[in-house]
Amino acid sequence: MELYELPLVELAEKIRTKKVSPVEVTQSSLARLEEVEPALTAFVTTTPELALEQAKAAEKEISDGNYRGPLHGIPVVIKDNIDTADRMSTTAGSLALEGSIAARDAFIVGRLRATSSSAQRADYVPDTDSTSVAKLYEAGMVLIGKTHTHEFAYGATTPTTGNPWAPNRTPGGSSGGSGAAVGAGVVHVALGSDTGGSIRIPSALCGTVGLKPTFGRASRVGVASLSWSLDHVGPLSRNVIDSALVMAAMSGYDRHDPATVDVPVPDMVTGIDAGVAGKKIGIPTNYYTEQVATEAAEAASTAAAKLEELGAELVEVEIPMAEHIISTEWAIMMPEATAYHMDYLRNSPEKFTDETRTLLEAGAAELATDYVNALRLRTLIQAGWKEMFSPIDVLLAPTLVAAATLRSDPFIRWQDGTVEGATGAYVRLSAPANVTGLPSLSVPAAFTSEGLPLGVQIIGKPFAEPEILQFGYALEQNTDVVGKIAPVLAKAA
Amino acid sequence: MSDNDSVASEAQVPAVFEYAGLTISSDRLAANYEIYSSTLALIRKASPPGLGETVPAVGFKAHWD
Repeated sequence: MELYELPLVELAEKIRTKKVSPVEVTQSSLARLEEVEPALTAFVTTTPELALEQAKAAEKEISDGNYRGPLHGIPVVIKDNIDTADRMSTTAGSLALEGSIAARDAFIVGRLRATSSSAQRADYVPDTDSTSVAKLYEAGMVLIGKTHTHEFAYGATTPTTGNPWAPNRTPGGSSGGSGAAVGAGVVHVALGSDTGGSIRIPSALCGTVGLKPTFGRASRVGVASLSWSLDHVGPLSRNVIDSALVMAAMSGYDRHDPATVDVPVPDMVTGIDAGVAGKKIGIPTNYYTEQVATEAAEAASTAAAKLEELGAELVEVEIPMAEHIISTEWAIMMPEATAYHMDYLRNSPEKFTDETRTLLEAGAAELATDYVNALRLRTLIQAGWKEMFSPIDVLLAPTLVAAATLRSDPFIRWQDGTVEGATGAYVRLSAPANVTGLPSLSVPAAFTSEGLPLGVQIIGKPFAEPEILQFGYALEQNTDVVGKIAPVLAKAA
Repeated sequence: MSDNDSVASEAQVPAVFEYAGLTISSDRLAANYEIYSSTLALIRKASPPGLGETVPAVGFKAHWD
């Protein structure tokens, strides 16, 4: 068995006890990257030299008795809309490598760009780390590379990248490169951002865990914004406990992000195995049941039945104001995205992909009164959800309406004859947690008859990340779906 | 709370783009009108009548952090 195949907690223990060096772990990760990247093109930039420098530094610290914790010496990848400072010791090459694949980039890119997978930022090199990355560096993590996003996180398919379970299918998005890298086993953990589902969508489609925290739990400073009111940053990971470790490490109040809330960061790992006996799980009777593929719905039902078997009680609930959720999401997101990109849109619109440009243009045409009224609806939706949660601890639902579409045909065709674009379809079930700001954990729940992953999401009360992680952990421990590595090479053959 | 059904006409869309300072060719407008108008119609559904005294979900604070 290769080192990259071991669970993160086992690797961490081997590093702590000096049975394995972070350098060996990093080399294993880089070897897996080189193996699968030609089939996936998940990376904008890879950083083998930086990774080995950081791994050697971690090795020295640990041998000197300065072990920082279970993330020390563990490789990580970062979505390319999240800033990482220029830390490379060599500056041998050109930056003009837009679109080149990572295996080649690795040896000639000397500085770390944050392109957001857009020609608008092909040469953007941040000079400071984002807050989340800085915190993961403090925990001792090792940067392997930057991963592709749907351009500026404005979409849910990440066209540049393949799904590790079927490279001709979408990995989802917008954190598609992160999902593909974790699903393929390159790393145990990746960072993503989530405005309408962009962590949970690729998690579900790539067979990984994904945690969108409570709005305000973690700082977005240094993350290219899609929508200030709806953006979150969080982990995608192989196992549930990996997300708990990373989320705890990157959380906390940041005065530079006015959305962050000054509340204590809980230990998200201790008690993760507490079980679900006596807990009440809300099972939606509407919204999450409408236009959902049979296999996706069955995966959620099976997960709910398993939790009931473990002692939880299932309680049917009706989603309030369901008819306003999607319009509220888009009415808030679109003008905020356009405001952020307005200079580009006026001065160099041709550098956007046509898809992104069209969405940004539509956002420019939205009335300010429509935007403010959407924010007023958000107030009412939040109040409705608070009341809905009064008899339950968590809500359980399918993460997505269906499995991964073909990259060449990003549409879902329903039995009633309607055709739905992949982005709109995938966002439908994930957006409620963005509009309400509630934490949501996506956990692999099943595979389709075609061998494609499906996910189930557990939505909690505000700042109840430890509780939803307990539910995810219970599912992981009592099913055989979580923690798998995609056989990329066999699928690509 | 009922939906607010409204569709931007083919004359209204270029007018608002011009006011927003965006240069969009007539070909582009024609090719994408359906997307613009259907998106704006979806957005308008989040602006229903009857919101009354409901305040927007915004978080400005006068405190100097």
